[in-house]
Amino acid sequence: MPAKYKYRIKALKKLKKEWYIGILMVSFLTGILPSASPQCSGFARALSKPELSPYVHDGNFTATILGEGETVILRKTIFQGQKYRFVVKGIADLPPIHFRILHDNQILFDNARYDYASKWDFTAEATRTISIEVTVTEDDNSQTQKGGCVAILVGIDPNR
Amino acid sequence: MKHYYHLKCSFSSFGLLLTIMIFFSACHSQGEKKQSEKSEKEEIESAAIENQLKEDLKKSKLILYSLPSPLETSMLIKKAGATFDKTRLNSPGNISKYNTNLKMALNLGIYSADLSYSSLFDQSETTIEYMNVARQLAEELGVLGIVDEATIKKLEENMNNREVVMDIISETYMNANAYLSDNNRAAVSVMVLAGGWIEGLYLASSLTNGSVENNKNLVERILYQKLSLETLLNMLETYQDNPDIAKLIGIFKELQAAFDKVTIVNTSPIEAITDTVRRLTTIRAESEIEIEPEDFVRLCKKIEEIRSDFVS
Repeated sequence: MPAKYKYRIKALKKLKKEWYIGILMVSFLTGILPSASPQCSGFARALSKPELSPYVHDGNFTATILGEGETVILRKTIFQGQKYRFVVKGIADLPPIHFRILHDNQILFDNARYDYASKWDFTAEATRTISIEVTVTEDDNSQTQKGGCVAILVGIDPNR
Repeated sequence: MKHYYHLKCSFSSFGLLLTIMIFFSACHSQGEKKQSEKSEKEEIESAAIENQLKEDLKKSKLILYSLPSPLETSMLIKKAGATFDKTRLNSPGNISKYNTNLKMALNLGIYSADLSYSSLFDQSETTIEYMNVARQLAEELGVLGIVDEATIKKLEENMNNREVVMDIISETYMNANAYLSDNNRAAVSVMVLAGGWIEGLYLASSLTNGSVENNKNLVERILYQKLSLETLLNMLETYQDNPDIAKLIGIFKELQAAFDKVTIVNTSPIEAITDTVRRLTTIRAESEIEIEPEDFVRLCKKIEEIRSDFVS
C-alpha cells in the first residue's frame, strides 16, 4: 500500500466515529467528495480486476471511497443472454463488504448469505436495470472509523 | 466512480445538512462556558439527536451509474448475428476536425466503440488502426500515457487471441476514464462514455437498415437501449452545470422522445435462482417489447442524426 494511503488511514483512525461520518456526509452533500483517488484506481486495477478472470472486464471504472456503514448504489442494465461476474472489493483494512442485487426493492442476491463473497456470477435471462447496493459493514469491536476504497467491477463471459 | 455519482439529496438530507452545519457552527461559537452549563438532561437529549443523526446520515446513499461499455455493446451486436461493415465506422481521417474538448471526448468514445466492434469481428488491421487513432485523440485531450508503444506492440502480437485483445481494449478504456476521473475531469469522462454509447447504438441501428424485420434480435437489443438512455441522462444530469453537458442533455432528450415510442411490458415477476455450488445466480423474467415499424425508422434516423453531428 502506498505510504500516502497508509497515512490517510492512520489519520482517519484519529477521528471519532461520529465526527468522521458527519464530515464525510457533509462532503458528499457539498460535492467535495467522494473522489476516487489515483490510489483508488490503482487498487481497482491491481487488486480487483484480476478477480474477474476468466471473464473480460467491461472497461467501466467504478470505485469510490466509503466509510463504515456507508452505502453506494450502482445502477446497471443487464442484458438477456449475457453472463456477468460482479467483483465488489474493498481495501484490506475495511470490514467485510456487503453487497446485494436489487430490482425494484426486491432482493435478488445477498452476499451476506455466502460469507460476504467478493465475487459472484450472474446469468441474465431477462433485460432489466438492476441496483448493486454496496455497504461497508461496521466493526462493532472498534472505536475508530475505518474508510477506504471500494471497487465495483463487472466482467462479461466472452464465450457465451 | 467519482464522475458517475449522483447523490439523492432529499429534503431530509438537506435538513440534515443544515442541522450539521448549525451543530458545527454552534460548537464553534458557544465555547466551553456554555458546554459546562449543559445539564445532564440536555446531554442525554443531545446524545439521542446525535444518534439519530448518525442513523439518518447512513441512510443517505451515493448513486453511481454504469452504461454498457463499447465492449459490451459490441458483444451484444455480434451475438445478435450482425456482421462487420467497415463503411459504418467513423473515418480516422476525421480526427483533424476535432478541436474542442466536447468533440475530442465524444469522438474518443466513438473511436473506442469502433475499435471494440472491429476487434470482436477479428479485424486485425482495423483494430490496430483504431487503437492508434484513439491513442492520438486521447493525447490531444490530455489523457496521457494510456496507450503506449508497448500496448500497441502487445496488441499486434496477440491479434489472433481475441481474449487478450479484448482485455487490452477494456484496460485502455478503463485507464482513460480513471485518468479523467482522477484529474477532476469527470464531466469529460461522461462525454467519452456518451460518445461510445451513441456509436454502439448507431452501428447496431445502421446494420438493420431501418427495418424491424431484418434482424429481430438486433432490433430487440436496440430497443432495450431505452433503459441505458435513462442511465446516460442520469449521468449527464450530475454535471448539468457544464455547458457542453447541458447541450448533450438537450440532444439526448430528443432521442428519448424517439425512444418513448418503445413499449416494454414486464409480463412476469422477476425471480432469482442461486446455485451455491457454482456460485451462480440466474435472473429470470419475461417481458414484451414493441415499436411500430415507422417509429423504428424515425428512431434510427434520430440516432444517425446525432451521430453525424458528433463526428462532423
